[in-house]
Amino acid sequence: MKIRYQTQKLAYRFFVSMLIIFALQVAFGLLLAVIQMDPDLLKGVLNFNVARAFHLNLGIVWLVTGFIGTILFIGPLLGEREVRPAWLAKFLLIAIWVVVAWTAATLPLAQKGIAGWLWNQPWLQQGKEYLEAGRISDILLLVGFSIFAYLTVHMFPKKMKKWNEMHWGLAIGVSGLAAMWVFSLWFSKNLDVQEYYRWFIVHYWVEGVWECIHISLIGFLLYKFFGADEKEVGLAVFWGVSLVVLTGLLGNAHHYFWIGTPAFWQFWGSLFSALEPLPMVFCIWHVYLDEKHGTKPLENKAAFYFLFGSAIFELVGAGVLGFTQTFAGTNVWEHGTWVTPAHGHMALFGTFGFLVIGAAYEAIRQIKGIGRFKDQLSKLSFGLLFVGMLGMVGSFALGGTKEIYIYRVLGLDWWSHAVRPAMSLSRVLLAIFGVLFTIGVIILIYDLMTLENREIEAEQDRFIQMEAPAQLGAWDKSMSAFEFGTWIAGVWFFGLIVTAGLFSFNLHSVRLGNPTIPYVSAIFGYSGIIIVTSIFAYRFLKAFEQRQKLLQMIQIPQNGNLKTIDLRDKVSSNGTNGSILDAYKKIDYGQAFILIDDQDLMHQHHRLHEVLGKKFVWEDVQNGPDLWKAKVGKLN
Amino acid sequence: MNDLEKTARKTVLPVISVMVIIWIALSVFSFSKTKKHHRPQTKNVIFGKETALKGKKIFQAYNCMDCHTIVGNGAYFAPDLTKIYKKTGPAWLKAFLGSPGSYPTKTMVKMQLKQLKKNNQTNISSLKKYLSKFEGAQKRIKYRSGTESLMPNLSFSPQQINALIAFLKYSSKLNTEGWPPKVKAKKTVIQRKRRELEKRSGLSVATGTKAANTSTPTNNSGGQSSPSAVAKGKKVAMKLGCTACHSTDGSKKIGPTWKGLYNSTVKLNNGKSVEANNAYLKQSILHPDAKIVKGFHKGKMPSFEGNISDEQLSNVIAYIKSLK
Repeated sequence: MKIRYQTQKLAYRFFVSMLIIFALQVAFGLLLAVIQMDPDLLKGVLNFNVARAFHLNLGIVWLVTGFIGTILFIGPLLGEREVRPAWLAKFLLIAIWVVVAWTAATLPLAQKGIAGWLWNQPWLQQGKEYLEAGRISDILLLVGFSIFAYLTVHMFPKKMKKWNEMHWGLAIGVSGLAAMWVFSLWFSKNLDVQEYYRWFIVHYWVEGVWECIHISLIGFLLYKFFGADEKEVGLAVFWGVSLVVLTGLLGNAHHYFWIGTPAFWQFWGSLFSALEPLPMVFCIWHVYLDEKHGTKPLENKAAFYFLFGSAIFELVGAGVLGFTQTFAGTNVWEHGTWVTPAHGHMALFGTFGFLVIGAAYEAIRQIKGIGRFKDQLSKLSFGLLFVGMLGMVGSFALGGTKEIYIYRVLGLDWWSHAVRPAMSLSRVLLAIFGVLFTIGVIILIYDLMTLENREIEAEQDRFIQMEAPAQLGAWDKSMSAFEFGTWIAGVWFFGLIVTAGLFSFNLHSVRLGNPTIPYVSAIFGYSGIIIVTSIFAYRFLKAFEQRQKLLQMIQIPQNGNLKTIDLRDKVSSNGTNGSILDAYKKIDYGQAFILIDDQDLMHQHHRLHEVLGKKFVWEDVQNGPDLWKAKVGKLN
Repeated sequence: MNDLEKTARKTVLPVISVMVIIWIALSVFSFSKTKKHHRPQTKNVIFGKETALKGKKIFQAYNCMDCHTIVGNGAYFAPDLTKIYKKTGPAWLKAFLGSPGSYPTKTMVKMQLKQLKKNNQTNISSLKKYLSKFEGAQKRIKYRSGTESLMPNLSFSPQQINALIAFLKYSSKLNTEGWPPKVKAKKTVIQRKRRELEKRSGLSVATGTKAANTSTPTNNSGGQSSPSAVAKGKKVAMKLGCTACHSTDGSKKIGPTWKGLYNSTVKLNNGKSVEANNAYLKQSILHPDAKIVKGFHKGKMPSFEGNISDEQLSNVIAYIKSLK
């Protein structure tokens, strides 16, 4: 596949930068895990708070850089025009690195207590979680975000009437990203006001405008990958974005339970943010539907792995885990403990990280002019990132549950000799899974940067001899809607157990000091979530692989060796509808037969669809005027 | 798109508008003055002439939030600070923030309390009353006195400490609607778990002083002083909390190290030099601000006058002598 617009190539440099910043962020994450185990290690040299500020800020920057790369790549396709002006996009990348370098130079000033106060503003760094960078960085970032929004909207058709839902979703997303940043530009004298505005950025980004970008990008990529119906994708994007705004707007109230604001926020926050998973269920349902839409083998399976990862981690990390802690009655216990970062890590990296990595695979492939490529390395990396992240989630969640008991229930509130030793096992597990994750990142970067070495020659590809299976194993069969729903319900079942476990801290017996109920619920619930998520992902991708393999086999030209059913021959049994189904049943998976008739085959196509659903692939070979020919292939 | 879909789509924007209005109404009501919900203001909360507003700026400047949490938000790497003032009170916080690398001893808290009373910053008359009012301070002295903390030994000025305490006093006043929940656990369960965890963390003795003892070097054989005076002096230094700020191994802490101090020539910040003899050490302990060593600051060390007996004083000096 070749790119259509020259300026799409600009995306490449953004993805390279993204990977460098991602690597740095993960390195700091690993360092934090080590400092967690030995707090004295770098004390005075690189204190925990500075390392954490790097971890958070680099995390935001690489995701935004990934968004920019993705939008520069698909924007021209959406708008059917080049990126204009191209120099501004090049300038934007330089600006990103200037801000990163400047912020990296100023964050360590926290160790000396220098914020650069002038006119009541902290110009150098400001010690607010997620927004640690100082005012100078903030202003530069606002300029950068505005350029990004301008470039994006400038790629779209001039007449807004021509915009479809994906244009709108992206436009709302990128301009909202810049608009929300304005709330970071002032110093609040009181803590409650500071926290009130801080969540305008953090919450309305990740549970608002970033989600709009996420939904639009996933929608567009699925549409491109599987030739899904544009109107249906548009419908999904419209309702996805609408649901995000409808639930997330008041859902932000879940951050205002305990910051010194009145109790009524507990009602609004509990109610609306419990609804926030709705668009996520909707999103993964569409991934399921659209994946079956494809009638040609996908050239880039790796990208789809990551897109799928994004949807499932969003559902589990943001949706289910977020749900467990969103009620005032559960939040009062887990707030301020390790249970929160279990949700935070999975939601942020999973939803947005997996998405931009998936986009990077497709963009880099096309920009480098690579066709198919061997995807073992990308799958290995995907697996390591997937398992590493789930392991980290488990470590945080179980450590956090213990922390609630020691710190909140028993009130043993000193760190060195009570809270820390209680969580020692979780710290070790966190580091181990952190290492797994890091290996995944190293493989990912190596794979993406040397993708051309793994290109499969087209000829070689065509002559792959695959044996058509007569029977399929249970894992290889396509997933029915019922099975899909059962898996999702399974994740929610264990999510509800975790929720019940967090609620159980309110029980009289637990408050008196018996942690059995919350401990058992947490162990059962979190392991359930992790196991079901993993098996579901394995099952889903296994069926996907099988379908791709069969599609590829059906595509191999057979030079007239295919069985033919002539529907003009109505006398013999050869010409009935039943015989088509018979033929379908008789052939092996990945094989095909030809239908011939002297009238349009539309009717036969519909009949077959009614009986077989998506378990066959239909290809029109000849469309009239005297003769109609179609190839029917058998899928899983 | 069918008609139903069209109608449904058209309702989205009005519904969102209603939600925005609800949001604005809730926000306005949250931050306007009502009798029901009290909102403290940083500019009105004062401790030792410093406002909580100044304290908030210092709190941000040191990026405290990326180790600690406040109102539950932050890094979960260190204790939540929202209600710490209510738990431990100003004297303990003053003693701790002076040398955050270790937990204050009873004497240190007592001295800070005296100082606060002298400056009319508190009306609590005795340490006993203070400790019964601030249970957190009592617990911390009982279990942690003199042991090392995990916090980096940040060097705050006395003004900064006052401002930070003002900010923590402010945050204690925030109405956090019942968060964090009150501890209702049985005392026996708490004690059992505490001992179990301390054992695991390598701190098996309840008072903690013995653990701290083992961490100081046993280099006390030399010197002209009698071994018993040295040993006593070491004990006194531990009890008073001297070693929270003065290292005995040459490393730099909040104050100058004691290692090799005796009889050395000390450069002062006024350009002069002085010999670290008995008289100088005695003066520095009783009136610490009389002579300030180069590179260190005035007002950081409390005066030990009235808090140390003559015998204790000579024993501490004997201990310093022994550290070569």
